[in-house]
Amino acid sequence: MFKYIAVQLIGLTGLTGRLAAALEFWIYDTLKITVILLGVVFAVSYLRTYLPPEKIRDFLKGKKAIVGYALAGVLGIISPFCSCSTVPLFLGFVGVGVPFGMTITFLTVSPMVNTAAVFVLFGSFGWSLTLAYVLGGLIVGIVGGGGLKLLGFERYVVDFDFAADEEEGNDVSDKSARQRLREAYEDAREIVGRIFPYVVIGVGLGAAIHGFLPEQFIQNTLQGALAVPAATALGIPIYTNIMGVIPVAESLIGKGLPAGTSIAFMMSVAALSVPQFVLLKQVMKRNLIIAYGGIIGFGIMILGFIFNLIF
Amino acid sequence: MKVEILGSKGCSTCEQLKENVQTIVEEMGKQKEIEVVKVDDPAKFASYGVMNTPALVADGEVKFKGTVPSDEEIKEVLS
Repeated sequence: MFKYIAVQLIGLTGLTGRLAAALEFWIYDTLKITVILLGVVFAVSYLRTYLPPEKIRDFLKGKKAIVGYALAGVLGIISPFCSCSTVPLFLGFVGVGVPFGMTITFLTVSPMVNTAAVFVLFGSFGWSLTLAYVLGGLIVGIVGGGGLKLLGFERYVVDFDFAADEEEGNDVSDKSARQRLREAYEDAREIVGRIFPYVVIGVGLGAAIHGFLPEQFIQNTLQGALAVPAATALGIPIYTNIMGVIPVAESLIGKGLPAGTSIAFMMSVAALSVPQFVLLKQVMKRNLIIAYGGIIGFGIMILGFIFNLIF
Repeated sequence: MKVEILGSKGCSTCEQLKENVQTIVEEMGKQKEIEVVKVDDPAKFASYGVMNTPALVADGEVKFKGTVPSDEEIKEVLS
């Protein structure tokens, strides 16, 4: 349907060739992503009123080993949160005894894989790449969290006190449907408002690549063994939302960039970023941040290589 | 009364909550009695047991967290 609207609009302008192709991509993807974003974020925000961070934390508190890590990853997928709450969440989780490794897993998976991104990925790449991306993201998060724990990096968390929260007030069961709708609306408005600029920029970049980047360019420069590490490294200084990077990856894949390289790029942009490290600096000592970046980056590269072999 | 608004830098709903509270305080004519401050130190959030912002703390007691309360709810806390 979105394709039809885009094609009709382009038809009206009478444009042809590269510019038309780029414009069509831009209109189509902006429409598609915006509609999915609005629908999914609102639905998830509503459901999330039943699942505040306190509850997630209680789920994870007593869990052991692999079950706990898997659960942490899955919860990371279904609970979106603003990157501005990463640090308070981290303190809150660790402060009341969620194992350190699972907290890292949750925080890593959450920006990389979220419900809205899964729908957009599916719409852009089909089910096999979407599944690969989701499973890959989970594995990187679990290995990263478990690895840092095993290597003893827990001691590089800065000291702090967390108040045990026993006060009621925010009890989730006594909210009315109206209250939940209002909260979901506020949440959705905030999240979509924050993400939307990244979507417009991302789709614009994607459209430019789609219309104007010669396929030759990718075949000549972005292939070979170094492509995956390069894509991962390139993702670090870039700060955007996962929704902003999907359209870029979509048109790069369309131009022949291997799937593994594209996935590594998307994951790195979403999970590793300089502003994120600056935030984490408030609660983690330098060694831990370096190790965190290192282990997640390494995991992303390995995934990229594997996916390049498979797809 | 001392009202603290907990919110990280760059969190738009937290700014909104602070503005709402300030407006309401002015409407009630209580600028002298109620002091509104913004807190953006995450260690401070932790000391209140708050994980999701924005949160509203009145005289050291957490009243709301993770949501922008409605004007009525804010008034109730402030009066």
